[in-house]
Parts: sequence; C-alpha cells; structure tokens
Amino acid sequence: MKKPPVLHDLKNERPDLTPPLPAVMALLPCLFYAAVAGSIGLATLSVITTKQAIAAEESALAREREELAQTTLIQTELTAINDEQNRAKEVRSWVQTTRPLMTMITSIINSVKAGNTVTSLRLARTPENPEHIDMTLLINNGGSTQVDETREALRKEGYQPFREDTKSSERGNRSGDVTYTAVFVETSRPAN
Amino acid sequence: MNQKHLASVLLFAVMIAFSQGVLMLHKKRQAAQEAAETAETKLNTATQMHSNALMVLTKTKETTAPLRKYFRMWLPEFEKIDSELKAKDAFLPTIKRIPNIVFFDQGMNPLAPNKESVFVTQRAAGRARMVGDYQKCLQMLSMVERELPTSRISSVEIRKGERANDIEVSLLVELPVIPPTAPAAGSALTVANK
Repeated sequence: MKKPPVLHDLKNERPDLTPPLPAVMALLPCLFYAAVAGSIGLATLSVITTKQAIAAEESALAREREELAQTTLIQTELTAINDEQNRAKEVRSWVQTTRPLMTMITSIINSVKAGNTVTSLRLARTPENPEHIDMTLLINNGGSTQVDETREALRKEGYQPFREDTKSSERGNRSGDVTYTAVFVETSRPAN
Repeated sequence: MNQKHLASVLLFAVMIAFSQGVLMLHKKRQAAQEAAETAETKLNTATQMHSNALMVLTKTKETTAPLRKYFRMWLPEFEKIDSELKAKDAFLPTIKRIPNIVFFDQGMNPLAPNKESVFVTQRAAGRARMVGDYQKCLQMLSMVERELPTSRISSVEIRKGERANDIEVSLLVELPVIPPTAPAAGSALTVANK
C-alpha cells in the first residue's frame, strides 16, 4: 500500500534508501508548522502586551511623580501654615499682654474720694506672667474704705484681684494711711 | 541514526527553540505587567497620600484662618521694630510729644531675649522718669499705649509731685523686636495665601 504524500511536494522524487520512520512521525511536520505559527502568534501577542504594560508603567510612574510633587507642594504649604500659626500664637500671646493700663490707672484715680490722697501707685507686669498686674497702692487718707472703693472700681472694669494684702500702721484703720498690694488679672467686664 | 532521524531531531530542536523564545517573551511580558501593576499600586498610594494631604491642608487652612488673619493684621506693627535703634526711635519721640514734661531719665535698656520664642525673639525696654502736670503725664501714658500698640507697659509708678497738680512718673515700656535674621514671615504668607 502506497503511503499518501504528506508535505512532500517540495521534495523531488528520489529513491528511498533508508527505512521509513514510524507512522506517528508523519505528525512531525504538522507539529513544526503549528509550532512556528503558534510561536509567531504568541510572540506577537507577548510583544504587544509587553509594550502596553511598559507604556502603562511609564504612565503610572509619571502620574506618581506628579502626585508626589503635588503632595510635596502641599506639605510645604502646610509647613508654612503651621509656621505662620506658631508665629500667630506668639503674636497673640504678646498682644494679650499689651492691654492698656490706662483703664486701670483712670479707674483707680477716679475711685479716690474727695479728701483722700493717693501717695503712690505702682503697676507692674513680670515677663514670666505678663497677664498678671502687680499693684501697690499707697493711700495717705482714706484707709481701707478707700481700698474697698478702688477694688470695686477695678472690679467694674473687669479686673479681678488675688493675693491681696492691706497694711496699715493702725489695726482696722478705716481712714488713715494704708498700703494695698494685690495681683490683678483682667477678666470679662461684668454686665452693669 | 540515519538522515531521517537527524532531520526529525533537528525539527524537534527548532520547535524547542521556538518554544523557548516564546517562553522568554512571555516571561518578559509577565515582568512588564508586574512592573505596571506595581507602578499602579504606587500611583494609588501616591494619589491617596495627595488626597489625604489636600484634606489636611484644607482643614488646617480652615481651622487656622482666624488666627492667621489676626496675625496678618498685627504683623505690620510688629515688623516696624527690628532693632534696638528702631525701638528707641519709636519710644523716645512718643513720650516727648507732650510738652512741659520734665524728664530726669530716658533711654533704652539692652535687648533681652524672649525665651521659647521663635518669632518675637527679643524685646527692647524703654525707660523714662519724668515729672509734670497730672493730666499731661496721663495723656503721655495714654499716647504711648495708643501710638505704640505692640508696646507693653511693664512697670509704671506714679507718685505725688512737689506741686499740687504735678506727679512723678517712672515708666518702663517693653517693645517686641523681630530681628531681620529671623525667617521672613512673608515667605510663609506667600505660600499660605495661595
């Protein structure tokens, strides 16, 4: 029985000197062509997909760089804002200690009743606690009555005393010389 | 081994070579896809970070807006004094503006550092001892507080003068000094204002 020619058309006829290969080997040329075609197809697919993946990676990296640059800018702005906020806090705390003393001085002077005399008035702030105002008031006439008047006048202006001390040469002096010392803090002015 | 066997082996070798080539390209594709996925993950992380930072920025801007507005309002006043000389030029003419007050002493104390402060790093202290009419002296004190809004009267002592309406005043006024070496506030503001 003559074997059907399988892809032997490129070969010229020649005498078959060697014994034929097993019949299953007739699949070899088919496998070869299938392998070539498959390889070309898969390789093309791989190359296209690889290029797409590389392009996607480059695009993602570029966008990542952009995002990081934007984030850095935001961080810089945030640092600047925090820096400004810290300065603002310092400025505010300074400004809070610059509240005019004139209100206090005027209140004290206006609280002095006719006939009473203030010999000396000292108001001081310490750098450690500039919101505290140390007051030393020397009253020549008026005694503790005048001290009460002055304290009440200051309270109406929103100054609250603490660590008070009243000294006089005579015990329970209601009208003579008296030295009043106190530390005042400014609170909200009470509603009249 | 005859020629047919050799040809078969050769064909097998070529097929294996093709398969290896395809396998190599496949691995390359896999590596590229993995790199792309990694880049995508990194991008997502970066986007998330950007988004978070933007949210923090917006929130910080909102919460600090009143304080920063307050700061900008006061900044020009603070920037006026950047040295002891400027403090002197601000303090002494102000106390001398009211006539008929006799000064026994006037001048500036050396600059003192402001501890734990990064902006108002120094303070100048102007001192004065004077005698004059009660109303004029009080007017002078009032003028100091009005015209030098950043000043802080750290000490004032008022005593009876020799004449009926006269008072003696000892005054110590502190002024904030922002040296020019301190980082410029403007740079921070420029960024923050955007």
